[in-house]
Amino acid sequence: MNRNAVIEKVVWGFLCCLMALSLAILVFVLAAVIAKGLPAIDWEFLSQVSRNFGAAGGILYQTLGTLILMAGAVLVSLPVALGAALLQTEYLRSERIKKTLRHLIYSLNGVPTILFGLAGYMIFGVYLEAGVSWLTGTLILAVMILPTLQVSIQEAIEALPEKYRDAGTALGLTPWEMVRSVILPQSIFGIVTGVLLGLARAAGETAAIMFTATTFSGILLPQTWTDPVPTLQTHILILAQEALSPQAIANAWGAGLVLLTLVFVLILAAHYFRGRIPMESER
Amino acid sequence: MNSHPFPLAVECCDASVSYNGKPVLEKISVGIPEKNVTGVIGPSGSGKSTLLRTFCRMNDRVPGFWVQGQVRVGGDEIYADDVDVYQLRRKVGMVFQTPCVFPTSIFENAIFGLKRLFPHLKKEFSTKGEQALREAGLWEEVKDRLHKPAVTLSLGQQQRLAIARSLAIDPEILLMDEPTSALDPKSSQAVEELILALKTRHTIVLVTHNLAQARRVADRLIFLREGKIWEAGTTEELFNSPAMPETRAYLAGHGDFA
Repeated sequence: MNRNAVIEKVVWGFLCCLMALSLAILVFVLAAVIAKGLPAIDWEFLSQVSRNFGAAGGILYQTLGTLILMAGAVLVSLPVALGAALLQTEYLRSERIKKTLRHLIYSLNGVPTILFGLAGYMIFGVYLEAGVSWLTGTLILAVMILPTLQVSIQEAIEALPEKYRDAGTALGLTPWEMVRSVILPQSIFGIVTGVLLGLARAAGETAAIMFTATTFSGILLPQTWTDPVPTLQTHILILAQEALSPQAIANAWGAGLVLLTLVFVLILAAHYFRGRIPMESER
Repeated sequence: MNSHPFPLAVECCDASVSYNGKPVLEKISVGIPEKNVTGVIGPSGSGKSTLLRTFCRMNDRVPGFWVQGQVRVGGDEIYADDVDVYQLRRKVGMVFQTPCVFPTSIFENAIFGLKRLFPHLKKEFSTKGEQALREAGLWEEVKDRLHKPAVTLSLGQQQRLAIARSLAIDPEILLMDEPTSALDPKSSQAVEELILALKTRHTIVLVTHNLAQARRVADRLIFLREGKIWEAGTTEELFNSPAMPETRAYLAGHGDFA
């Protein structure tokens, strides 16, 4: 065997080890969450409210709180992201402005989420007087998932075959008509994929909502705009840090498994919709 | 039909086109007469498609696209500041190389533009749609399955549907960019026959690589080479007594490969 072939073998082996390591970590995390979380989960766990500081009862309100924050964040973020994407793909002509906007969006994506929490709390919580509430949390999450949403929507629109755009332009459609009757109907699956990925990101977020949207106990469903909500993420965090009873720890694992399943379902759905995109252009 | 005061449907005076400073068309001066088929021929990369797209401002979206000189449609300068470009494109329709139908029914495709540009004509959609499909020679083939998806049609039928979609908004000029190059011979023939039928009411500008086709359907020819009009005249003139050696070489079938 010559020298080059040996180097190739070594590199190949090294890369395989790295791959195996990261896979092993993933498998370990999944296995641990499933093994420790599954015993805690039954219908009562999912359908009852938590009692005795998480040591008893279930996670009904925590799950609902997480869903409220996620759905609220997407509802707020989607119009803005869609508008920003359409502005860049359909209306703006200057390459320089487009490039600047794109850099800004990518930078926003790189900001640590705790800073979103801090800045968001300053603006929504303090300045707009929403306090620690589901509204503050929703708005912060909305800003946080905005770049994810905007970039994936824009990519979906840009992936649209040029021939549809040409055909629409040649008919004399105005930009808005084009958006309504060509761009949106044709890139809908890509947009749905973006929304699901945004949701998954919001579901996994803890730092930004930890001190802006939730408190640990004594809260139910929000009755007003400024009520806090419990969430799965903070429930896990607090139980893992502070709980003493083994039952509470077990419940934290259970909540973890529920959250993981939620994110997994979203990502699976995103893959399903992404798989349908090529078919659009073939239709 | 309304009569047009100008004998020339499209007129270019010293029109130059460049992308990011790179010239594609240089000092084009040519007139395209009404209700005629004008063929645009020339080697690949000679600027045929660019010339065609210039007539309906299709390239406005292309970054760095720049037009100098004058391009007039129906006597009006189309690159002036106050031109309603959407209005212009309703007057100057365009059909492309790859047939493009929208993912909806055959009939919805036929009235795709009509429905969006003239929503107040709702009552006339069905008659106008039928009329456009008839004009495109497609009615007999599709009248029993108007509400089937348009993709179920053959490529040739899809191309005629695209033409019908354009005809439904009644353009004065129809630009066709190699409309048969993606089609089989039989479908190509149907499209050629359609072009000949359409010229009684429309001005047609046809870009084609197929010289036999140019000879069959075009009344006049424009020979483009390296971004310039090398020669223009009636089809007979160009085929029988070309003035330039390059035209002769191209028409003899060497031009595209030289």
